Amino acid sequence: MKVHADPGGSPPALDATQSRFVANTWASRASSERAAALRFERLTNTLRASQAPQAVVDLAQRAVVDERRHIGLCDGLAAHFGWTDPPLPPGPHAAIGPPQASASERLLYEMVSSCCLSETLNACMLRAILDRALSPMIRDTTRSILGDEVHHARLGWLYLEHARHADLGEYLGPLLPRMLRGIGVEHIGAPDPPGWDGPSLAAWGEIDQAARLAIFHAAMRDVVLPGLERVGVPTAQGRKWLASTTESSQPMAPSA
Amino acid sequence: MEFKHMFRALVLSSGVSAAGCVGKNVSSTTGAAAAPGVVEKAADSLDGMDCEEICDYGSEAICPDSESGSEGCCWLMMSPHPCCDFVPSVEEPSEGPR
Ligand SMILES: [Fe+2]
Ligand SMILES: [Fe+2]
Repeated sequence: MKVHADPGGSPPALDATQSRFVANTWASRASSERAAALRFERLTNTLRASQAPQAVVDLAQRAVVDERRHIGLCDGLAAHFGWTDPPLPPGPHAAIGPPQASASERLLYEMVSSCCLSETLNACMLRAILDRALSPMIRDTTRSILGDEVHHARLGWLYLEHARHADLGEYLGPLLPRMLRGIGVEHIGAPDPPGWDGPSLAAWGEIDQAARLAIFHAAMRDVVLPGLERVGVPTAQGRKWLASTTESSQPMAPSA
Repeated sequence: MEFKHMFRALVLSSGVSAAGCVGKNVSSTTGAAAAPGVVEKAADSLDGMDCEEICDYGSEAICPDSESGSEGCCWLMMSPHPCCDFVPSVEEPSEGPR
């Protein structure tokens, strides 16, 4: 049964099963956007209280507004593809960072993890969706969200640069494997569900397990690690952890 | 799969809170300050192309996009223009529009 076709584009029609996969993707994304909005709300206050540069506070404040907008966009797409359950609750958004670290170190840890890693990866994933999606509806929403996520990643890189000027952040190097594990590797390495039709779903912007792994590795190799090295954060342990994972079909098992 | 152009867009442009590439008026970027931290390199041609003439290296690297037939942000292009790889010389931010 063909239940969904995008009138403006040329992707293949989706049956009920494939349509549910697309709906799940955007419902899950909406949950992540809810978490991001709450995280940036808290981070904006923390950054302001810690007298971070005004440009950083402004970007964080903007991110709150952006993420709230993304929630609506993602909920809308999920509903369009047949999501009828209540919206998924926000994903984890509590403060993160090593418990023994100082408040400023924990703030830097969270900014690097959330923005330099997660938002950078997010931007790369969205960029990859644009590369494959044929559906105008998916492309328009993706492009709109991507335009904002770029700024959320920049927020992290800008704050890290500021912190490095204050000689903070050297301690991040040994924590990189933990940070890399913390940005959703379970989701990235999750196997494709039964009934997954890769070529049809790609036209609707869906990314399969192998592609997610490839994107993760490329984003770390081309953007995150060079970005950290550019400001003198040691990356040897992060590189070692990444090398211990594989881009291909194996789930990314945490390593020591 | 590679994201080298994203490095410029995300990391090297982190000091610039411009409006981004979505719905952007391209001509509005010409006076933007150079991104901080960009490695200084003499302005030069790439494969005989005068990249600084062809593209705008303001807050975003904006070059001709063969897909859309107009100009666009390098990081949004399916097939980035060769000049997207070009690193322009850094000008003093106070010098104003090129
Ligand atoms: Fe978002
Ligand atoms: Fe974001």
